[in-house]
Amino acid sequence: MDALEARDDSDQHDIELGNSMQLIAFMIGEQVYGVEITTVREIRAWNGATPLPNTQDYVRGVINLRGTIVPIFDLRARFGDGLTNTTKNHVVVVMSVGEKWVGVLVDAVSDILTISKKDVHKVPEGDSMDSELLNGIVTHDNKMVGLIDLDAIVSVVKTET
Amino acid sequence: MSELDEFKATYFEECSELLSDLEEEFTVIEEGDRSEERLNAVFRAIHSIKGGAGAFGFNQLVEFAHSFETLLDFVRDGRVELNDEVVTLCIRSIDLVADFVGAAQDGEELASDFGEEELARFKMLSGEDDAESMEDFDIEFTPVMVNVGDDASTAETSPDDSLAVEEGDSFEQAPMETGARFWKIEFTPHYALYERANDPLLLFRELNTLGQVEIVAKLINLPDLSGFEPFGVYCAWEISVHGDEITKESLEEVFEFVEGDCDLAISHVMADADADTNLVGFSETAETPDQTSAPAEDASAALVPDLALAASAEDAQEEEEADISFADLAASIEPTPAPVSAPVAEVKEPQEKTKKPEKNSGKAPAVQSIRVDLDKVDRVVNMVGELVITQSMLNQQMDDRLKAQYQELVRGVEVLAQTTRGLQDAVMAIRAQPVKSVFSRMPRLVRELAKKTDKKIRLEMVGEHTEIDKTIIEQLSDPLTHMIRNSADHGIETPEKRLAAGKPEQGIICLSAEQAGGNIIIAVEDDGAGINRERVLNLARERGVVGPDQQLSDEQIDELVFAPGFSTADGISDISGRGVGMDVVISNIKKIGGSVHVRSAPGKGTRMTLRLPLTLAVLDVMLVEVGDGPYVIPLSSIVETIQCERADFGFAPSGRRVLQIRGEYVQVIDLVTRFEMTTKVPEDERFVVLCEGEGSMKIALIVDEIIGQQQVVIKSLEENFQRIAGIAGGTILGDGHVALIVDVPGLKVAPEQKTAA
Repeated sequence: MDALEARDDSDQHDIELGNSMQLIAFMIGEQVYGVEITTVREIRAWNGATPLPNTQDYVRGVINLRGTIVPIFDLRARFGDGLTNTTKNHVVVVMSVGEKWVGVLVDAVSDILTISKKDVHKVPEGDSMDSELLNGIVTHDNKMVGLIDLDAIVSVVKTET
Repeated sequence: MSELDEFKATYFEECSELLSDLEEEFTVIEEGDRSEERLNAVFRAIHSIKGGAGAFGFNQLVEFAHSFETLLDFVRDGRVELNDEVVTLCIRSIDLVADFVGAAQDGEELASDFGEEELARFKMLSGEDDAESMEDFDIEFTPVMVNVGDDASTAETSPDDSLAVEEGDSFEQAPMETGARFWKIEFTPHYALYERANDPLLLFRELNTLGQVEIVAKLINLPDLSGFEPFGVYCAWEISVHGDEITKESLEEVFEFVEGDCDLAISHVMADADADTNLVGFSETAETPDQTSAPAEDASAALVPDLALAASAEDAQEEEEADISFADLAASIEPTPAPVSAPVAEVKEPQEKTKKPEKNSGKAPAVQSIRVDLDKVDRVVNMVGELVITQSMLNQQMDDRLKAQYQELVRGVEVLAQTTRGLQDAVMAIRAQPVKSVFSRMPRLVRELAKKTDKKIRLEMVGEHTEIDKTIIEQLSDPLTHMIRNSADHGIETPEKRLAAGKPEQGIICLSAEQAGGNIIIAVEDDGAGINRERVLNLARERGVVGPDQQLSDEQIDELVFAPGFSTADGISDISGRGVGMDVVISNIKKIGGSVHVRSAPGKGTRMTLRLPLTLAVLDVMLVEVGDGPYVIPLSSIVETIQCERADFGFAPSGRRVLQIRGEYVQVIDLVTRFEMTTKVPEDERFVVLCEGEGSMKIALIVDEIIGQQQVVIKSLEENFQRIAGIAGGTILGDGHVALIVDVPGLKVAPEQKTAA
């Protein structure tokens, strides 16, 4: 239900901006992913996190964001590619998903992209992980950008416990 | 209507305050203080409750409160003796009033015969007369919304009420008697009269018992709306009393209680003279009888300006009120002498006024206060919490070299530490409330329990002014209820048994609160039979709570009463005995970081103690290291710490490690394995933290390192994430890192689930 609502929101947003939307693009390895710019609250360098016991491995832990505790998801691990070997150059993108704030650990933030909504393609059927975690795929400068479904990232955690 | 809801909310808040005041006053009265002051205070409180109830149309409450008030009034002027029976009735009635208020608040309708028995006794005690006139009393409480021209006021105004006024008020029916001599009273009340909670209507009613009475309101002093004082007194009355046997003395007697608070002139005059004065007084309104026969709407339209004229410059609110009553009057009753109906509207008005000064005088010595959203306070509390942490971080950064080099800085940091402490205490004090707000619910509970169990129980309360965090107070009500129930049901014996044991017939439950260091100790103590240890132990063995060979100390047996599903009652009564009570106490108290203890002396009584933290916002913790993460363990649950090297470990048949300490075997949980981490610290250098878990059962946690004690502010993990088994929350350390708070009671449960899965 949450997921549906969030999609409605982004649809409305598109109407407001005509037919385009802006993304923050970030890299995991060579692959580019994007989230809608309006959901991003803050981008900060990786400075460690307090690990949480008894959670999925892609939950890297929690950080202190000006007095609130925010969980960090390792996006690489979330896509099943093993834990990120973190350095000071890694980046946490803090986003708001519904009422909650979450951080996503990525390799680097690359760009701000303006894309046309009609260029967003459906995720090809087949790999359940892809269709589960992506809202769609968009092509930009001949590169494939996966649109992250934030609700999926957060809600999957919920159903597993 | 939302505005009305707001008024209602305020009214209910006031009611709960007033009810608790009442409770208090009667406790003192019950103990023998029968001073006038107390009686006035209870009278005022009931009156205020009634007044508000009338305004919102809670008729059941009004009716009951009115009878109650009447009785109190009679008690006040000595017509009814305040004996024990009456006091008991009154105390019982306060409970009923509370029920009525509660029902009104929840929008429920109580059974129509609810409180009938008490009502009948009120009437019996205060005599028939008053019971009759009760209907009349509704008039003062015709809803008056101070909401000019708004729909709310009209919607709330019930036309029937105003109609009842016209028909029912006895002194209006007095036909004019001419030609005879009669008594003329000019009565001009002062502000002080209302302030002392006197009510002209009661005086008029009293006069009505002497003879036929005709009352005319004089509004000559009424100022323009711009100069209108809400608390001002603008109404005077001219009263004619017809009757053969009336003496000046009997009239003066009526006004005896308001002597000095009003201007009073009593004269014996001839009827002719009276006719003249009447004519003067009512020249403007004299023509209204003709108009009342016109169709209702026209009549009301025509009447309103007339009234406004008669009353010189009336409040808009009153105009509206009059509008309705006159419309109905015109529509439904025969034309009656108009001069009579005019004053009726005025009689109400001072009545409305009386309430306000009353309340003021009742609360005058109270400390000034404001109502603040709890959220706002919490925000300040949070920020101060952050400040405390920053300050402790600064402190940590000061190494010896720095301290030697910058002495001024050191002094500054010290002052900062003190000021921060002070600020923290001050902020906590804002959230703190006297435990009285919970304690005050208990006398009623005890009364009801005593009635149900046929025991004689007295509740003593000590230290009800002890202050404690509001959040904790909210969590206290259930545990205290269970504890007192337990004392009343299991602790205190029946009067026969008590007498046989050489104790006074009446059992005593003592509820006390005191501050001890950083804790609040709340105790429930009874002088009953104490815990029957033999039976408790047998029952515990029967139910498998205790193993057949396990030897328990007396204290441990006492603590068994808190075990889930445990009840020593021979039969399940409707008070307690289902075994869900005492473990609720434990879990509620643990939840707020407190602990529960019970001590019992056979034949002498039982004492249950709650040890509670002063505040929830800041927690005293022990900072430990587990694997690669910092963890904190609430100090309140820590019993002691031992180096692993010195600890005496053994193995249970299942292969689980147990800790043997002072003859007890305690479950061991290695936090590193429990939290699925690895450690490089050699086993012997690690530490055992012995904690008290659920139901005072101990568990031993093994951690890598003990870093120290500190105060932390609890942060929620669920706010942005979710609940994690074994973790109660997070907190931010001085260096900005997040540490996790170990959920000690929660740890015990989780691993079993894991192995099962």
